[in-house]
Amino acid sequence: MISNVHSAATLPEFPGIWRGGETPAAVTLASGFAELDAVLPGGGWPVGALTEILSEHPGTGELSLPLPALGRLSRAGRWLIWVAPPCIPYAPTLRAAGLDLARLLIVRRPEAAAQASAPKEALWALEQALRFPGCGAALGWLERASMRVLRRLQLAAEAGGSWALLYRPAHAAEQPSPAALRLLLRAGEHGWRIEILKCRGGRHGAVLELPRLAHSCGDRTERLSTASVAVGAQRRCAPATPTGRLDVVSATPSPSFGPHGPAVPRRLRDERW
Amino acid sequence: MSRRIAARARRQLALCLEVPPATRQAPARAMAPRSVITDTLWLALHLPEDTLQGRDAKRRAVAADSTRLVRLARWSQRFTPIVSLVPPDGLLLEIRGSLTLFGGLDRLLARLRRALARHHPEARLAVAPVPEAALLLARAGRTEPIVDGATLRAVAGSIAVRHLRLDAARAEVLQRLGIRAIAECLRLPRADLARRLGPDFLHLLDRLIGGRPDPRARLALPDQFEAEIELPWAERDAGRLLLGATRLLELLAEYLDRRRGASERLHWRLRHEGRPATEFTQGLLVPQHDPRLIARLLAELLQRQPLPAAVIGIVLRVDRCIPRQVRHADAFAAPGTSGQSGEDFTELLERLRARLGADAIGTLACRAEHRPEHAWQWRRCDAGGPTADESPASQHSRHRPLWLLPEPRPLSRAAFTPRPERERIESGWWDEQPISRDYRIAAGRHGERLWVFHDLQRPGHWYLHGYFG
Repeated sequence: MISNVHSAATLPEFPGIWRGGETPAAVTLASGFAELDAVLPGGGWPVGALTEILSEHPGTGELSLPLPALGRLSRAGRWLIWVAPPCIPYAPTLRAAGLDLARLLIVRRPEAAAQASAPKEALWALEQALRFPGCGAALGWLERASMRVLRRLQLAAEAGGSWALLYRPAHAAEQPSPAALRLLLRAGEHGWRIEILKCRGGRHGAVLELPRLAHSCGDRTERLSTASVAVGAQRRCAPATPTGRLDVVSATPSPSFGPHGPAVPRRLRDERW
Repeated sequence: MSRRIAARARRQLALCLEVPPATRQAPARAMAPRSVITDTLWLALHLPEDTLQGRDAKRRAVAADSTRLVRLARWSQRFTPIVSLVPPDGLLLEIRGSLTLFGGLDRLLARLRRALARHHPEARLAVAPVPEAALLLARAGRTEPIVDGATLRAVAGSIAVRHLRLDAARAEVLQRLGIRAIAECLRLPRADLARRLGPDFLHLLDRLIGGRPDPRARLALPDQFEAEIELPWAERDAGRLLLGATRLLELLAEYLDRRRGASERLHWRLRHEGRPATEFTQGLLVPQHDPRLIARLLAELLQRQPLPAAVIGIVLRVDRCIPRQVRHADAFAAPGTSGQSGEDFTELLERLRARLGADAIGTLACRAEHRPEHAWQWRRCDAGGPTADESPASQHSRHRPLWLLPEPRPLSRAAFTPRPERERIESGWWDEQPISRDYRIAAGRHGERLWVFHDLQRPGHWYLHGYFG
């Protein structure tokens, strides 16, 4: 019997042993939200990897969330390439939020006549953008994406060293994905409710609620002084914290549709603008 | 330095105007008062006729030969821009201006010989300060380069007069006089020589030793490139068509290299058997000359090009040759910001444009306008790439959404809960699109933030105009 038994602390000295929960040596991009950075491994968005933002409805902070990081990238002279956004990214707001519009390239959805090949073309454009070395971030809006497609995008992001951000409908959460980070976005009571579905090198299951930014909600009074964080491991028995933090998990309104169905169209129309 | 440049400019001018090049400096004039040997250096290329068999073959080959000569002349324009034809079997290249570029006379000659060895192993080269002498040396097979007037006189004098290509009458006169070598002619009294053989002969001798200006017509570079390739069999496959087109692009690249140019519009014609040809134009954002890059972009076009029938031939035409831009690399640029990245970005744009169409790619800009749908602008990425946003930064005290719908969408009043604050926008009476709206921020059924308005022109009608994404 070998006498010296390795404790867990000495294990990482062996090559080839990697412990879950450890931050992989990866480049990250600060999100601009201290609460979110605290939860993400490496303290920010994973660069050179795929990030998925799942949301069922537009207007739940899906664009405001990456905006501070995107603004910094564009001001640093890196290109932002947005592929097939569902509506018009509104230039005056983007500029007010600190985005350099001269560094923003938009690839529109193809015309109605070519709708059949549209997803293929969008994927192609996204992959080209990701492999372009001057690209800081490539954002893509995809309705459907197979595992193979996602894997391809993940590889392209690794090759190009750019931040791939993919917008997908909420039901894609059931599908496995090679993405390094998957967030599910919903509107919360006082801001955006972010659920971390998957987080490579970090802990998944965390739910946090961020206050809305001024340009995304139109009301500064909604800004909360503290963000409320509830970690998934404590989900069932999250006690009210002594600092008066709001326990979001227990107060989460489950998404419910009215009896007449949503009056606001759930999916944006695929039209050329 | 500046004197050298000035001298070169004068020489170029003299060659362009086809006037006798003036002697460069006064001392030179004093030393050789009748000499027009200047700082030019001519290389003659002679294609001997003994490769042809018999007179009939010779007659048949004349037409083919002249095109062969022109082709060779075009090819040799990569060594110097000044090339003139001496039909039926000679070429003259002015190479003094190219010596620095090619690293000296020896290297230039070695390179030329190496290149010629493949297609014209029979060609003979000779170098002399004047064109007539260079031709004579090449015909006589005296291939050692001669760069100064004194040596030229000695060497040229030793060459037999038959290499001067005189007509039969004059050749007979010379034979009766017992003259074999050119040196013997040079020793004879000029007046007698002119009387017996005509003044033309005297001029020829003068040109030979640089005693008389000898302007040569310069072969002009073609303004238009057109090349055609026949496919070995009818082909529909885009990948194999691309292979044929790549060959044409290599020819184009050769042409563009000679002219130091680039092209931005390539006209392609795909010929079919018994049908009108398929034509399309490949437009590029910035002029390009790299055949591999153009081929990559062409691949996208070919895949999208509907073909009514199989293709039997491809024609490429380029009407304009645009001078190349000299690019300066920024030594201190951070990677991924400018310089190389800018190049790559243009290439990315080209690829996106080629596949998705020019309308699909663009940038956004702001406009100073109160109506939300007019406060932004779509800008296509045209030549010169995307342009910077130059409109003044508007000071919006009011909130605007991140997403704007292309068209306001009618919304049931029950679908949202508006906030009390209103923003009234009434504008646009001057251009037939007046609006009069009360904008509000509202919460949708699922907590999403909407930008809605009440149309004051149609009371009771609410519209969704954007999302606070």
